[in-house]
Amino acid sequence: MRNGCTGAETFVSDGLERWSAQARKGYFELLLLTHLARERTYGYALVAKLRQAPGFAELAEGTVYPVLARLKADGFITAEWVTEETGPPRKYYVATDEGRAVLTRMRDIWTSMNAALDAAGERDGS
Amino acid sequence: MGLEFETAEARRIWADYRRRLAWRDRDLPAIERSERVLEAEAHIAEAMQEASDDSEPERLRAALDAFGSLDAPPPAWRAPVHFALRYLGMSVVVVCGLFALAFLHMAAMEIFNPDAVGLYWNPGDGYTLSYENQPGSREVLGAWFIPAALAASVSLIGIAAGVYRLLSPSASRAST
Repeated sequence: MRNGCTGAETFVSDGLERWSAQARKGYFELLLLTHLARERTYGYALVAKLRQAPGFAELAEGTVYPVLARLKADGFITAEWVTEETGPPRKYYVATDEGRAVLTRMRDIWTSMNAALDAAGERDGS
Repeated sequence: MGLEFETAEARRIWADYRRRLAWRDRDLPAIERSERVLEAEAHIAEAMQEASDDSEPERLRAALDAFGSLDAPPPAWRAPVHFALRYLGMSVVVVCGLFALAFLHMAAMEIFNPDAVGLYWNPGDGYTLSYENQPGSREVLGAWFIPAALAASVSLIGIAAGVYRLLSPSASRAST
């Protein structure tokens, strides 16, 4: 028993947390690419936007950069350091044409998964 | 680029976090490690500008907490291979650097004293680099000693720089 929960409740809670973490991973890249397809932005501002999304309020800000590096390595985004007149230098990110094309396909997959889930729910009456 | 702090406490906190970043990214190529540090520095600088606390160490702590906690590198006795390779790498850098300087010096001295400085061959002792004539030995390169020494020096500097880049996350500025 933990935090006043029964063993079964803890099992459900742990399982839900694990599933939620897995679901957020895929959603996170989709969300990130969506922001970068909409506008060119720098890391700190991007993180501020991501934290407004449901489930990402407690996002560890440093975890964004490895994902950005992976998207850049895949050719989905580009990055460029810009030295500002005042303040620290900023690294600006933006989606490439390839990234935008991938985003469209990702959204299609997401939409079709949602539709399949809705259809299954209607069949089961849930 | 690079974060600059006014207080010793903030410098200590950031040095500790840099150590943790280096440990987390130890398996990445040097150029990516360098880029991760630069990204973290830019992010932390922004976060500290936004923070309202008057205390620099507190603003830094808050920014680092939001950036994410990182594991500290284990003490040396727990990572013997990692530290042994690091010390071996630093030894290679130092030795290559010293030999590169020696070759540069010999190339310069060959100009002023071409009859004595050079590479000598002795059937009994093999090859010897020397600033003086070697009795019973034959100088083998003559004036070609200068380009050969310069080439050796450049090669050694290249090796030292390459090993140093592998060892140091901040040795190279990444291009994006």
